[in-house]
Amino acid sequence: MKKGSKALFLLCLSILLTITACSGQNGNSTVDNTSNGTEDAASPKKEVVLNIPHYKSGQNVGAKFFLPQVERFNNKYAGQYKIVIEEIPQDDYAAKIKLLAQQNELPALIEGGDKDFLRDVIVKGEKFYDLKQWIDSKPEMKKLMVEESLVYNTTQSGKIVSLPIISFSPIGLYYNKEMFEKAGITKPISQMNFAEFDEALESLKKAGFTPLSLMSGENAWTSMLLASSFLANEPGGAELLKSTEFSYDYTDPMWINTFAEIKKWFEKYTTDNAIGAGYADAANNFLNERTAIIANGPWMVPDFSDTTKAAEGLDKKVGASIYPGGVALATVNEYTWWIPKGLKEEETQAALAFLEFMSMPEEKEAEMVLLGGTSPKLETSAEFDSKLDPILLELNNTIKSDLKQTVQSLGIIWPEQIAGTEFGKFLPLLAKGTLTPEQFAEEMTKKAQQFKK
Amino acid sequence: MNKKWSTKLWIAIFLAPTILMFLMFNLTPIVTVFVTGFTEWNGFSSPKFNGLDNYINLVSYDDTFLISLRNLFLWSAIAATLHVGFGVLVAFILYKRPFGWRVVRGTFMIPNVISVAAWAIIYKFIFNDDIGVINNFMRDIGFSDFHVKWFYESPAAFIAITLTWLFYAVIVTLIVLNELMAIPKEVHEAALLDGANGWQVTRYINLPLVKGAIGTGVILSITARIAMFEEVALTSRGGPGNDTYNIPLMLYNGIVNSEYGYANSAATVMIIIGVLVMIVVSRLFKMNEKIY
Repeated sequence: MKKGSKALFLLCLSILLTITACSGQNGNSTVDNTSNGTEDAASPKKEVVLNIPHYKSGQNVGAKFFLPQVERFNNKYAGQYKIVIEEIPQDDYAAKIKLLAQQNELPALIEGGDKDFLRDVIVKGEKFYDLKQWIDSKPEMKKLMVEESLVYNTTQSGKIVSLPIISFSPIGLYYNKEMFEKAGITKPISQMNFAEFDEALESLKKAGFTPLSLMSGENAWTSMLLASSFLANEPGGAELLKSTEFSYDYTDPMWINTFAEIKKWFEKYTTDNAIGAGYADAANNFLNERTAIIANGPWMVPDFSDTTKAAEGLDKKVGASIYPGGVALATVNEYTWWIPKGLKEEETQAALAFLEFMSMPEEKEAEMVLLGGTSPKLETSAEFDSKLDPILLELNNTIKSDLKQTVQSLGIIWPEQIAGTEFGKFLPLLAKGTLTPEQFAEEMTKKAQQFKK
Repeated sequence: MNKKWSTKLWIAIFLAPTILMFLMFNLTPIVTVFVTGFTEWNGFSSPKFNGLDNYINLVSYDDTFLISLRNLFLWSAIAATLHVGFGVLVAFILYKRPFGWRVVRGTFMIPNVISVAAWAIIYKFIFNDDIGVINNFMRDIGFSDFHVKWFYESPAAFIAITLTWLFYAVIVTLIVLNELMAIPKEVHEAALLDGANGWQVTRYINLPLVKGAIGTGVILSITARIAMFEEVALTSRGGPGNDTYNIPLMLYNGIVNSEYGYANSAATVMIIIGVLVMIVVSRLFKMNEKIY
């Protein structure tokens, strides 16, 4: 080979390697012409495979119901549709969806996402598949939907953004009945007001127990829930927490009172590790009987009987309640499962089939049995109550007897920046007394308004 | 075509893929970052020119930018002195080839092959109040009330973040060690013949001859602090309050809030600081001068 030819060969090789290294295969869905990976020339099956990144997988509490549900769907539609779940941490889900949207690589099914992104980009830009016609063609399914959710999901032009909910999970709190008994607390929490609740915390403390499982790490979840219920009991708080708009100003007295209450809880009624604690720490404190109360959703109930997480026999000691003042937290005004616009027809059909499958009464009932929740329009089977965990049944009974109002949590009315990061980041300064409740309110307000649209 | 032109043509042809890659993956993103820093852009619609609004928002919205600059200055000072100093010290010790020096060099390398994100999570455990080794050690030696919430108190959070990278100076060590090993034997022999002792060889021969490598180490260490993200985002998240904020976190906040213009203005500031650091350190260490 001549010198020039050699050089040309090397050049081509280098360009080829460069291009190869830069290229990659991507895509979130495929049409699989094989069955079980084996070519069947006589009867090719066009199975539509949807690759869906989702956080309800792995160790996530939602995986307990969601993954088997996907499995049931795949079995029902074997050979026609298949959903493959790609595990992703819950904290990264919203960012991942945004990133995929920018790359025009959105999966065929998405559950919610970043609130600002959904409102400003997906809804305003009409980048969603309009579910209206499909929902109207399923009257049996439509009649089960919660009216408020249907209205929230309907745009001004009448399009439906995401699947309106059929059931929702009111979030309450769980308490250790044994500790309450030893502290001499007899009045049900749901019938207390917050002054009485504070007295109960004091009684628990005097009896030698740490009353609350709080946390400032991550999104300060358990602390935020309790604070939401306190705010709901403040004048004007419930109305604010029912709003469908974000709240950007926290300088009103009801906010200051709420922040002062949080400060008191952190100073007097929680564990040493609450500052900096993540959800796992807060849950662990309750599950191992180091605290008397934890605010959380009904999806925590299976953990009480899981001896790898909880103290032996804890499930027999745990009681469930809504919050003081008869307040329950629940969110119906949010975007749930949606399908992006512009998918191939077979992908859209597969995604719709999954939404329909999830909305079937038997699936909804199974979900409520395992994860708790309530469905105002769904007639549950005669065995529903007997299938329920006694703790979930107790929660449902408290809701029936003492519920005065259902409001959203602070996490819903706060912009993402506050709910996801800043509240937890500034909480240690409030708890330690570095910031007064007023200064804390000002800092939160400043942070919220920085990226206000 | 004469031989001279033929050679130049081949050089140009062989450089073309590299130049193409540089244009695609370096220059274009930098220009995009710079230009979109002057726009309002949510990443989906077209960018709209908004002048200096992003920079004004970045610098003057609250005290976050000033705190970020203060932190960068302090971290850079620590990196240029303690971090690089430690790396250089280890290099000089290894250069003497003490017993087991290869093992030490290999072991010193291990933290660098573990991702920063993983380290950050490990350090969250190390500094944990309940189960962390630091607090438990302090309590074990008699400070029974030692309950510092490392990533959640000031100034502990700043110190804890600093400790996540302070002693991982293997890159500096390798660069300096390599330069030390490249010093011609004759230079040392001549010094010894002139009666120089070990300290004098180190102080007047080795150190001046490796100052370019130390300068490179300083540049790498400071630029790593400018771009430091995981160590902060996965531990204190810039808190408590704004106390451990830095510019990459401001950039990240812009991204999560779909304010890409704002994010890119933060990125531009990072690039400018990085370039300034390179110029200043190069001059300080006279890195462009010939040594031999």
